[in-house]
Amino acid sequence: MYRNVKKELKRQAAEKTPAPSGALASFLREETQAPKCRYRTRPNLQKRTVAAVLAVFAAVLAGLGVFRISGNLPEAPSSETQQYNHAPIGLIVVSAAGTQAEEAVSIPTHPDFTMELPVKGLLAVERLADASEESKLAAEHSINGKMREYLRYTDADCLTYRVKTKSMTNVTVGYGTVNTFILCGLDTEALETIRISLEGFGAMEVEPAGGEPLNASNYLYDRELVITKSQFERWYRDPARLQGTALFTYWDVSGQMLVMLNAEPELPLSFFHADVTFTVSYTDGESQSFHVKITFNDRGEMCAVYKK
Amino acid sequence: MTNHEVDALIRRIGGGDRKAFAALYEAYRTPVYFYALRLTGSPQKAEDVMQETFLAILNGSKGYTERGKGAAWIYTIARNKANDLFRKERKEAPLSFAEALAAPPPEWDGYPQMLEALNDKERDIVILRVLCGFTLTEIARHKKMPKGSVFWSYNNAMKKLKKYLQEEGESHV
Repeated sequence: MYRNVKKELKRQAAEKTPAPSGALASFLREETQAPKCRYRTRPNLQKRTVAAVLAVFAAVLAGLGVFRISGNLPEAPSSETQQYNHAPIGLIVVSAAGTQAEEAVSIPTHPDFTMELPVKGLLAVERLADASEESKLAAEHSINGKMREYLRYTDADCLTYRVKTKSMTNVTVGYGTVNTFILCGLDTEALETIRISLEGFGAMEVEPAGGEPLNASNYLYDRELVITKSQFERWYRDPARLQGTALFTYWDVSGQMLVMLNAEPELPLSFFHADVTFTVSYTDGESQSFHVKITFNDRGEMCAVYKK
Repeated sequence: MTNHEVDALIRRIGGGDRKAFAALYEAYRTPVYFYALRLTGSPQKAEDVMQETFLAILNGSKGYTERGKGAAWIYTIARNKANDLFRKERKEAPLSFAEALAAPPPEWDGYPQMLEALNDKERDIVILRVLCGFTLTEIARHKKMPKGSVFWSYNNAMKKLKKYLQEEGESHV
């Protein structure tokens, strides 16, 4: 998405990087035909095709007024469909590492509204041949390869490519950290609580905003989280982002999942799923809620469906 | 370039492969320079650290034991060279890895011109991500910022840079 921007920035930065001198220059001069980057980006026709199809799909839905694509806050519903005293909360998904895209989905008024969210996440498991460091490194290498292929990293991105991995006695489990669900459009004046409940596997995570150091009080990682207005104001509200009306949450792999995969490495990844319910309660008794259903296919690719 | 690919290059350098060294130098000279600039706060010192780092890679690659952490090894050498430089000048040691990331970038009029399109916070994140080579998660952790905030700022910055380049392109037509 921003490949040309990064390329141009790196080109400009390379121009600012001093040329080698002294012994280093002499050594490199002898290597007059230094190979150009060996890790060239291959043309990715598939990516472009998928992007084009998604763009058409999005345009059609936008034309129907079903949802808006942007980093903006969701629009208030029209008077015909207004059901809330407060503006409807929205959901934004950060959908790809390095080159993110967001889609804001406003809370719809139709009770049966569902929509597939454009998340990008991959759960990967490698069985270890033995408990040696070499086996663990080989497993991490393999997981890196899968992530790279799945997320379609450019080779330039691979310079800094990272995946969270955890090695145990039988398996190494890896997960690409692209799992951000942002609640936006909160009426912070009238806010009472934000409740996040997870059923199934994994856990939800919320970190403080504004550079606050993480501690047991403000770093939340659990299956049931309740954030009061005072906690939101003190730790999680960032006036600089989305006018201070957003809460950033993350789905993460849990210890239970690691234990299960270590005990049964052949367990299909489609076994794992989670239902996350976000409920925002206001002081006047109004409550808005929606669900995100997270599943994985057998290849470990994350799917998330928004459901009213 | 993955860590395993960096490992392979370092192993080849240890075996006397000049082309491997040239490839590693080409891939890492800018990240190492900007990382050194971050550590020392001085373009001149950063240049010295960069030169010393690559000479140390050349000399030390034989003793490198492949552990899948090639990039970290290179950055560690750069940090040690910055420490040596400061010790030589009998000055206080440079910032640690975490401190260097948490601190704002040093004032310097040599940053790529296109970064002028960004505010301080965005410029800092883009320098760390694109030029120094850190991941957004690492940046969030060391700057003690929420991941979403870093993702958001980075994305906004890239949009601004894209627009800047488009406008630049149009003005040259």
